[in-house]
Amino acid sequence: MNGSRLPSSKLVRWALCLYPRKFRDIYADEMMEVYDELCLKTPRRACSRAILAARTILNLLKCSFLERMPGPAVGPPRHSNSRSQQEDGSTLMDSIWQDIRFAFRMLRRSPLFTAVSIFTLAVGIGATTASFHLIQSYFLSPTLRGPGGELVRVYTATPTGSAFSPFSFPAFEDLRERAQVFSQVAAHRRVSSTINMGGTEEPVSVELVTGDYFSLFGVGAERGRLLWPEDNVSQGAHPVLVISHSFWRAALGRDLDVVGRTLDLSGTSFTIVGVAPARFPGSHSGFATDLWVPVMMHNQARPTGSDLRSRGWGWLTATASVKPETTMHQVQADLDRIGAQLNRDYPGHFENRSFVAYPASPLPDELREGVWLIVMALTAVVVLVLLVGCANIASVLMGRVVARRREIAVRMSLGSGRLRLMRLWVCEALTLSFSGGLLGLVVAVAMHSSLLSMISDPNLMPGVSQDFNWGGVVLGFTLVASVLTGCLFGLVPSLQAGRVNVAAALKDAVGSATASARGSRLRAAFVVTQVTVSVVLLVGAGLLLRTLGEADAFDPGFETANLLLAPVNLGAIGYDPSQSQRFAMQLMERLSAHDDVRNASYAMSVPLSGGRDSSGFVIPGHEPSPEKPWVIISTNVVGPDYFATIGIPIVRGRGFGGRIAAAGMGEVVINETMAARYWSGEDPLGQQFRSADANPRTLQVVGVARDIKYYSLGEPPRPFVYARADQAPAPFFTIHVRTENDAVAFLPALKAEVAALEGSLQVRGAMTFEQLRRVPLLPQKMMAQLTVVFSSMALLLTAVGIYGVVAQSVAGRVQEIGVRMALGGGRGDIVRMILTRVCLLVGVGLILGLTGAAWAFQLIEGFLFGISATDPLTYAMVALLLIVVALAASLNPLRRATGVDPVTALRYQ
Amino acid sequence: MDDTIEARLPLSPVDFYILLVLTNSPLHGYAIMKAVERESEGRVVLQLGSLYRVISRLKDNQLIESQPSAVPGSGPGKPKRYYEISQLGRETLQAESARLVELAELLRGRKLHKGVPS
Repeated sequence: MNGSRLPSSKLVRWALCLYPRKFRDIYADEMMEVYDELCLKTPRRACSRAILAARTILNLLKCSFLERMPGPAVGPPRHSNSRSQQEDGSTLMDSIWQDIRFAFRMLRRSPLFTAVSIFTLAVGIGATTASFHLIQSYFLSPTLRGPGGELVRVYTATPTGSAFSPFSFPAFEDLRERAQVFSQVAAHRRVSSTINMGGTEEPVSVELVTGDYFSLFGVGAERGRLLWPEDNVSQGAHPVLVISHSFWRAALGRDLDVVGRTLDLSGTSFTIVGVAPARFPGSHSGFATDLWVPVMMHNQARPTGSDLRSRGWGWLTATASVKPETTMHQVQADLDRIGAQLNRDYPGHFENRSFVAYPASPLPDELREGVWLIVMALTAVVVLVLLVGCANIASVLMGRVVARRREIAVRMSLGSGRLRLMRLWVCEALTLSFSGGLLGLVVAVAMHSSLLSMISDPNLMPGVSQDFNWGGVVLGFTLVASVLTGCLFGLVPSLQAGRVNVAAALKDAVGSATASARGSRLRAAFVVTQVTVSVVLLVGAGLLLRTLGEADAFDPGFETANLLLAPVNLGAIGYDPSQSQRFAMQLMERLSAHDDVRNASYAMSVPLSGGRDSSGFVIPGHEPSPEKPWVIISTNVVGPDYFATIGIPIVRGRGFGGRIAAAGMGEVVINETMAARYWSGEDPLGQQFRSADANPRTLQVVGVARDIKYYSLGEPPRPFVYARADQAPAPFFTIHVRTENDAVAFLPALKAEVAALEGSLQVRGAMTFEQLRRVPLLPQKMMAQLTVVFSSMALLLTAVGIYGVVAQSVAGRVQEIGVRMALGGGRGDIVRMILTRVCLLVGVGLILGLTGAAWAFQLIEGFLFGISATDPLTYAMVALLLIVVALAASLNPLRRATGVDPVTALRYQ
Repeated sequence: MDDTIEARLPLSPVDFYILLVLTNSPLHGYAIMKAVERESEGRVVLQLGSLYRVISRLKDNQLIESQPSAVPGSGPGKPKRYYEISQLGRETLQAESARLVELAELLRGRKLHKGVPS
């Protein structure tokens, strides 16, 4: 019988894998046949077959477990002399099975506790598994290997310190020809593009690759063929592409005749030549690629107008297969040699850069450090929340030990061993934690995508792979996490159960009260721990929220509302600087004609966008030394009306507009800091200095602009020079438009005006300044989201913990309260007695938590903005919040305590 | 392991029924499952895992044997493995029956069981 006919057969086949190999070899096929026969004889209703499958699988799980355990291999199960049998004649495994069933029964008896515990554990273990999955897939995966050997990534390092810079296609060709340590080298570049799917534009992640890319990774086609070196010969001549397995599945519905179909990618029709296999994610397994296109088709896949043969256009990185028996040291030495040759052969183009190689990892290397920090912080947060949850469950289980001490004593007096009793409690804990772990896997999958969406903002990490890879390692981690968690909260109650004083418990007298007191001290310790952890997490969330608030409220020195920014690159479509200048002027005229536009201008870089430019200037009277007379000052090249558009007030002189005053002389506007530093006590207007480049120009100060924040919100004041765009034209700039109303709404009009002037020019990456200013704060935003979610969870769990301890303490002291009230104690005394205890617990937790937070967040002070790591307001708010929550949690037990009727309480005694 | 029949007694209800259904003719796994259910009037319903756990144990105990080839007339298709009761199994079943009858007699003597025929 063909097992694949029935969908559930596969699951049964998996369950059979749990049996010992010897057993499997003899019976597995036969069992599959019996199962298939059972299925065929079961009515063809989905639910009957599902019930059969579920029962069979559960039974197989149990039997495979029993089959693996030591026990009498032969002979009837009872009345044997085997040492592994218990006093009642059952095997050890049978008795453990019994314990597990007993645990299930006990848990069923308190459904609320069970449900809350399993939910807490599922969230804790699920979140921990999800964050472990990130660590595993980004950082623990072994270095990638291809068929030719170990793979490395090759970048260039610049003298300014960037270690992961891309390089040009000619440089890649030189690398491929000259490298002696690589058996194969392929270049690639990930870009975002769009395809036209039935009239709508769909974003796709495209990798532009060289012809030997797929053979380097050693993958074969799922359908059709992959790309060959012949697909990469001349620019624009190979409109072919390979699609990923997931794209084939999701976008093309697994069309079996997909090879030969065409796709409209950025306006060019490409023929699909093949489908990549499912297990191949692309160059970086942390990212998902939809399409692979030959690099020769870069201008069609993502029109930039750039020339692939230009040595000045660095855009590619490479992956290379290292020859066997070659060390990384030898690889780097060879790359240094090639770098030196390129610097010698093309002095203007390689700019003192050098090639560098790193072992190939699933993430692009430039992102590793940032992602590592975020993932580690996330892991720490979720583990802390899991600990807080564990403390609650341990606390309740301990309460149950106290409540069931009579039952325990009866069992002991009937001859049950202490170890066996302890095993019962461990079993109960493990049953809870395994159930939590099982559900946690579902939570992990659900959380995975939301965690990824939190940490993978399109502005930071576009196209991150969304797949959750079920693998032995992840499942193993969940299993280990479940066992550890179960032991963590099951051990203390089980030790406590093992210590029950039989005689005292049976009499329900003093001995048990001592045990109960010991337990209540432990539970108090748990609450202190919970408060401590919650405080640390809440302070973290508070500091990050305050950072975001401060950053939003911070005035960068110019108007930020309704400012639309759109970068354009005219060089990409062949414009020279003077043509670009003409284009810019015409565009500004057309834009200014719109009613909705208050001002329009353009500039090379945008403040606070991360772009920096600086130049050397020789300022008379301020030469640092005769050999090096220049000072380096930050600059921007700006168009007419720039200052009015961006809203920087000119405090003296004028901005750039109209004609240039003195022919041959450059006009500049400087900022207040520069005026104060170099012409203190003098009139800066009319002062002259010169540029320190190959063709020095004399520059004259025509205006002084107010200081703004240029590169980061926390920066100290810096000197700044604004140059006129018509005196230093460049073929790429960012259009600045200040609108009367919503800036985003103006984007279509802006695109239309650009298209009217130059149809082939694409406006990509346009955003408002408000959107742009959030980009540098994205890590803070992500961490704030994470800590707010998880610290709220920890706070809720802590509230439950406080409630539990106070309720337990009230229940245990009913008689004491009764006596106090009978002796004339007022309700106020009772409230004071209980609140003193709550305050003590919360107070100790607060002190520990606040001290811990002050220490821990010193380490991430650089991550904060506008506040210090020991921001008193945040700490005070957190302390207040904790106190309010603790009081709220104690309210119900307090009401019960003050409602105690002395007569009833004393009669009970 | 003790090879005597006594060492194998008493039989669990499942072992007993499996040996019982195999006394007439050799059966394959699915047929054993159904026969036990029928013979016990639905009191013993075997799940797949439990069935093979017991079969494996009975085989190791030499109470049943398996035939690797098809029984003549069992129909077309892949040969199924049939199980048949061994001589030792037959004797053990008889000993178990005798033991149960003895117990029933004992109960009847004490007037604790009305259902046992005198």
